[in-house]
Amino acid sequence: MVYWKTMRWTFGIKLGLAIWLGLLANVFVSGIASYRGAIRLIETNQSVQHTYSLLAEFEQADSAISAVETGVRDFLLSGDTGYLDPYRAAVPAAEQSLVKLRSLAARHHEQQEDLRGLAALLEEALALSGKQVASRANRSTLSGDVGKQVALAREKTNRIRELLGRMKKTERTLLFRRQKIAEENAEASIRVVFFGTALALLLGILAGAAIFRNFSNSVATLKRGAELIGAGNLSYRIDTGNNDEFADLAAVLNNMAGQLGRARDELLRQVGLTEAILQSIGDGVAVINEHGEFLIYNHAACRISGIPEGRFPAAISGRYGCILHEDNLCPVPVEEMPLARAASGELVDETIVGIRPPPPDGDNRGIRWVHVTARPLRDGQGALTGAVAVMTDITEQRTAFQELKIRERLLRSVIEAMPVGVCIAGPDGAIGMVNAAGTALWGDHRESSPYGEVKAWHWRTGDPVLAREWVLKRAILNGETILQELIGIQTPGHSRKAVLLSAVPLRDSSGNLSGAIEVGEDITARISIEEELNRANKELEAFSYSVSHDLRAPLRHIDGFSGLLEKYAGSRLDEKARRYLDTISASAREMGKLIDDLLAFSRMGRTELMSTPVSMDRLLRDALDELASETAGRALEWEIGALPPVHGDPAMLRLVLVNLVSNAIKYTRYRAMGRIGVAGYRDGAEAVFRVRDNGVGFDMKYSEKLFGVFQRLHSSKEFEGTGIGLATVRRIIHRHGGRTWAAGTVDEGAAFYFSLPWRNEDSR
Amino acid sequence: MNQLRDILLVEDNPNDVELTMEALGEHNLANKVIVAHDGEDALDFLYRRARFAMRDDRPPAFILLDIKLPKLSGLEVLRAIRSDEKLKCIPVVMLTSSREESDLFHSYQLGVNAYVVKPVAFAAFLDAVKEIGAFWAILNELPPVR
Repeated sequence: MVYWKTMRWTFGIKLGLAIWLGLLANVFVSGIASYRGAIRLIETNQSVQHTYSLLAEFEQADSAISAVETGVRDFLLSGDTGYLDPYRAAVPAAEQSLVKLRSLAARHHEQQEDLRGLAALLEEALALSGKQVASRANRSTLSGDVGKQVALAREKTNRIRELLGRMKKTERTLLFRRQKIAEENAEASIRVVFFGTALALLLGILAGAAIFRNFSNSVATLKRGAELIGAGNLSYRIDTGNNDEFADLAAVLNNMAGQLGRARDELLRQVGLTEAILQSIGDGVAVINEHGEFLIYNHAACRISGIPEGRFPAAISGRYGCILHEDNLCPVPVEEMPLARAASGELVDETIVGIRPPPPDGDNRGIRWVHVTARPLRDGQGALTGAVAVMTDITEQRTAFQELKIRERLLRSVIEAMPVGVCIAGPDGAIGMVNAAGTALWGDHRESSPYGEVKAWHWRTGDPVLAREWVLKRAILNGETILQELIGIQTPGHSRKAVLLSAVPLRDSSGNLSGAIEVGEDITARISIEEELNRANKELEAFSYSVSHDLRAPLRHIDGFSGLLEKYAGSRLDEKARRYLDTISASAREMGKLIDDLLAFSRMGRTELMSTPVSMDRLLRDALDELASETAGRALEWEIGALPPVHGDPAMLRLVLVNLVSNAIKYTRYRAMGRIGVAGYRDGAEAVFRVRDNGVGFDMKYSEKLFGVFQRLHSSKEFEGTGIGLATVRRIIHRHGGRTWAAGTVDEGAAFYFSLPWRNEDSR
Repeated sequence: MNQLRDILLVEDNPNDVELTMEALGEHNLANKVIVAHDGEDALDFLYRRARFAMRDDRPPAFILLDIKLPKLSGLEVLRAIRSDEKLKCIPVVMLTSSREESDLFHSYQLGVNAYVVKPVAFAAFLDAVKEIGAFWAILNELPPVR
């Protein structure tokens, strides 16, 4: 069952089956016909044989009965027993015939009745003859009935003979008929064989035709399918409608078409991908064949060449735009263009050319600068088949580079114009650039080696500067940033100079040290001025010292001896003389005070300024405590606000507050109720303080005079004082980097302001 | 004991000598006041040299020392005293016109016992010297003599 189901009706099977079927049919038909003919022949021969044996038997029986009858008759008639001999000889033959007849009758259907009848008759005849013989022999004489007996026997024999004759005749007829049938059968067999062969031949022809039709259909289908597939219709599938070798062949073709289709799809995808990549990259790509005709060019190639997308030339030529030499801007001949050179086998590496786009597009565009790399293309045998070029638009870089150059020139000019010596060194310490001031500072010794023949020493200590201590070296080697190191230098043929050297390391984009910039400022003049100033200050100090010591001594003596005079001669002096002595003492003391104030003021400008956080609130409290003796017995109304903290010298700032508040107390002396306000606030980058009073005030036109040394707006009689307090305030505030100013109205009051720089850390 | 010791006044200005002597006299101090007119004179007294070669070897009760002096300054005299094992314990009081910070600073650095600025006003000067005398000559216990 399974076999049938899975059985493939291949063409070979069909063909073989058809051939075998034809042969089998032929053999079968012929065989049947021959067999049947042979059977018939045998049957016919048997029946003929039978007929002949039957006829022979009939003859036998006839002769036997005749002999019996004759013997009996002769005996009967003669009584002579001699006649009985033939009889007796004939009886076994007759009995034998009888047995044969009976057996024949059993098999012989046509004359069965007649044969039985014949056998019966023969038996009767024998029985009669036996009886007649016996009776005759017993009576020995025969009465009248001998004749009767002979006639009876005769009659019996005749009847037998008659039946025999009829039977012979019938048998002969039968034989004839059988022979006839045998002949007919033989003819029929011949016909059957003939027709059978013809039929087999016909079947064969029919099967062949059917198979041929199948074959040619399949071949035609295959041919058509193969043609369609061959023509590129790779999605076509051949269907022969059968499950045979042609179907196999079709499947192979279909599979091939499928694979081809997939390969073609993959190829198309790859081509699409390549195209997409080619069109999307920023670099221009152009490919030419061996005739210089463009095979491929992408958007970027069009953009870089300045040629609109659709107008790209078919082949390289000088007509479209112009390729220019980088150096002289002359047009490059076609055969020297990078693609042409590559097409002739040259490797064109990183050439820079200018492209002037073709008019009209080129009118509004300048030259594009393009970086080109071109390579020859070769086939499998190595023969040149064209060239490929990759172009990068470097116009922007070039422009940027030019701008960079301009900026560099600008920077160089700036550096060149700078009044300080600038040296730029590379990572190896070699000086790359020195400006004019640098050359003036160092002489020509900075061109090659950093410090060459220059002698250097630390200005303050006089110790020589070791090679590794030079600021430029430290910046290059250690990445140090050095600010304003004071050294002395002496270059060959030049005088000694004091130089403030600074150096900053230079780093590349990855942070590695790539050199350093050194800035040197010749401060020899400044140093000498400073030294001069220091000397002057020292002298001033000595002078002040001398003043404080030597100038006060005589004053003290004046007062001292006036006192002694009064002590020893007071009783002898009149009122007037005593007043003179008092005046001498008072003048001496006043001068002593003046000297003290002046010394304090002088000291204020020279003593070093501290800078610490200062609570102005606390300083004000201290100042008020200090002024307690001055406020004693006064009617004063205080308005004291919170003061912002500052940075500065607490002792000096305290003196500022003491002076200002003391003034306020002094100048409100004649008010029934003196009002003094102290306030402070922050104003931008400054902390501003104000001491205000409702005292005598001043005329604003003298406001700037107020802060001058020994400048007074009131007589000593009105208000005592040396005129140095506000000058001291201004000096202290100026030294702190602040400002002082005043506002006032005569007889209404005055307000004195000072400000100090605000530092962020002050705002706690 | 103390009364037996001298007071050394180192002062170059005769006016100041006179005024100072006057002030010291007000207390009727029994101590003899020796006046040295410059720094070297002062050291001569302390080391019993030159004109003081014949004096007894007792050290002074205390020294009133001006700063601005001919030859050796008061600070140099102070340094010499403080660096001498035998003299270093002698009380030294600076009596000077100078209010200069540097003078104050150096004096104390060198181990001065007191620093008094001569007041300009005579009355104040008298009071100051009187108090110095009373304190150092009477109230204060001096280091033992060895």
